[in-house]
Amino acid sequence: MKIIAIYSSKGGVGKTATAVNLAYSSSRSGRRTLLCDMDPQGAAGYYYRIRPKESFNRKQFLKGDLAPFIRGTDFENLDLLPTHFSFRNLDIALDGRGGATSEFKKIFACVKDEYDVLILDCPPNMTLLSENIIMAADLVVTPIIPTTLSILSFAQLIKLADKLEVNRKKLAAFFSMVDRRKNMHSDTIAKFGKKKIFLASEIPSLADVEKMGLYRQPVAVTAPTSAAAIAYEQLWLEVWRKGSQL
Amino acid sequence: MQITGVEFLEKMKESSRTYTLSGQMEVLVLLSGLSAKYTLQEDSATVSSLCYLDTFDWRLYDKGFICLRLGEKGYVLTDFSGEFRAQAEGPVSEKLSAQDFTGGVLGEKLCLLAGIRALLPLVDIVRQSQSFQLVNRDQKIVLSGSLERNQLLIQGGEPIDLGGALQIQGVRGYDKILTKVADLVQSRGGKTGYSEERILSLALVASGRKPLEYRSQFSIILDPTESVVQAAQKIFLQLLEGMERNIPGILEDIDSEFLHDFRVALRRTRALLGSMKKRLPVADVGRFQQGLQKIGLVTGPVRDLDVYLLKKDAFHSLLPEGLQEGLSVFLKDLARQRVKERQRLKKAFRSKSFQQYLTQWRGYVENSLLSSAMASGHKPCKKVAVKAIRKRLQRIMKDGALIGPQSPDTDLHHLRIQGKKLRYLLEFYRSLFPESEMDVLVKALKKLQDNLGSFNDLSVQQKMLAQYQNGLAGGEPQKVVPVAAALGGLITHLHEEQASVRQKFEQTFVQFTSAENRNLLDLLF
Repeated sequence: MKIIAIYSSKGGVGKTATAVNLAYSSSRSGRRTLLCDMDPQGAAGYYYRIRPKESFNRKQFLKGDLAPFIRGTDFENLDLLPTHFSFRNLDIALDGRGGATSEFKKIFACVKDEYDVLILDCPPNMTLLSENIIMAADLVVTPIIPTTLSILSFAQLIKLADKLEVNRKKLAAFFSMVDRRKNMHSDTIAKFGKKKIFLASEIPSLADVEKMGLYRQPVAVTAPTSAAAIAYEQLWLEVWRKGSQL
Repeated sequence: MQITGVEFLEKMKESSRTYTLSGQMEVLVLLSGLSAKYTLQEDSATVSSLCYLDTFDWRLYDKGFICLRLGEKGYVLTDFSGEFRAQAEGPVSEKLSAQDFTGGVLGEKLCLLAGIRALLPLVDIVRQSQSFQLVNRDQKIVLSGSLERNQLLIQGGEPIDLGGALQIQGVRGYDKILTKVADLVQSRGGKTGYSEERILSLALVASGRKPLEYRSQFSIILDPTESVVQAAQKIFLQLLEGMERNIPGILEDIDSEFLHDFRVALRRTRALLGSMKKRLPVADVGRFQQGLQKIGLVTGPVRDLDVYLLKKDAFHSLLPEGLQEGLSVFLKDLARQRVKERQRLKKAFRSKSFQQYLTQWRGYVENSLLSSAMASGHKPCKKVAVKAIRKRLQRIMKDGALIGPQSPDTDLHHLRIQGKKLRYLLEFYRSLFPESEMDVLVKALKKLQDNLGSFNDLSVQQKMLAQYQNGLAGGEPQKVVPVAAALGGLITHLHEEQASVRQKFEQTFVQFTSAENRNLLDLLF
């Protein structure tokens, strides 16, 4: 099972949209896929119309007791582990367990035979939780809005990876919510896009992606031939190629 | 308790359930009474026409398989539960055999099951499928399913309802609704499980047929105390029915096995009648033997040609590239001859005298056989069987032991006839003896017969090919030389094969007369 974390310390960069659409592409390619919603706001679950079971909370998650709480989406090969409000304190709980950074690896081991791909939709912060996610993931994919500030926060992630002695090849970034009409966007992409850590695919800022909240479905379901759907499909192919090479 | 992934997969499988429904039901009716939290969404119904297929002797059904044609050329092989084993597109033609499926899993499986027999339509049904989903208040699918209804189509009549099936599939993490729906369906008469075989059987019964109504294999149950003529009457009638059932298939030339089965039944009849010489008036036996012999003669040529034509591929594989064309010319000529011989056979079968003969024979067996039997015909059949089998066995043991490497071919030929007669006896009277012991014995005899049969077939074939070769003399050299060369090649191969079969005879015979088999024979007879 390949673990792919969609992570950024910044909010509002299109993480959940990426996780939701990549998970769908992965399942369509025939891989048994689990989308794990780590963000207590529960947007990934919302897009797939799935609420957590009442008995689920942080405690069960940390015990690695995931299977009974996984729920099937409306699509073949795609399941979802919903988040829970109590996940907002996951980093504190992890700290209480001695601050180890390898806890998540152990937790996700219990579903490794059942799925080919695990996609993590991560909350926007840089805490012990983030460290656990980086350690557990085979590939950390970061959406970056092409602005200077976003680039700066991505530099912080690289620093964190170095501190954790994680192979930098495990990190990948792509430009998200791109609006080519903005000079700032074009300039930033021109300046950084060639760097090896950046994937070639980019996700434009498109109304179809925003409408996901309305239809509560992956873009490729609502608008299969739309530019957004094609862009996410491309991104998935690139992510999978990179992930499977590691 | 932590549930591991594998256990969960098992649970997933459990989340699909199937029910058999007898009445006509709507999904809406079936699922009425569920909480208002759930909404039913129905897809548009699909209607497909299906045709069940099997060979004349039910080879698929016999092995637990069902072949369906969907629409014009979709073919599916399922087991009795309806689980798909293979599917593929096939030919549109009405006349169909496994060989028409070129390659693929379906073609291979059908070849193994049906062999050279044609796949015939059994019954036509119409299957209506309705897919549906239950969604919760978030419009999330929490259960999906499909309802199926089957109707038998009858020419010129109202379709007959064959009941239906409901399949429901739970969604992981939404177990409660699955249980709820399952309980609901069961409370409304749904029976757990689905069987394609059940639909087929119902359709067959409704159209006045039943599975396995014809078998190539001869099998009859006799009472040990009934007289030998009573037993013979039963056997004759079963054999006659077998012959009659095969006649339409022979006339239509559906596949070569109709004629083969017909001739096997004919030979068995002749063998049994021949053994009745001291039990029935000589005049009766003679009169009917003559008729049977005539039928044998009229059907022989087509069967002989079938044997060569069935070996077409085998013959081709024996010869090098350079001789292939000559062989093709030869086989094409045989096919032409077969057309002619078939005309003759059809004419004979449609003749008044043939029809009359069958009617007279049936009349004799049904009405006069018992009353005209002589004293020895009233002996109990088991006693007669034991004596006849023992006598035949002793002959075979004695004659076979005398055959050495230098013995003439005719000795083997005679032994083959003895073996055949014994085989018929064992088949007729099989039910009078313990089953497992008879199985062992018949198997052992079959091995010996296979050896002797191959030896004889190879000898007959060589003779036929040589005769044909001689007939070519005087023809245009350009035309006849390639054919003669091909035949020469075949004869050489067949000769070599015959020599190797001959070599194996001694060993085969020793195996047949093993101490174990001898003990078994002493015990039985």
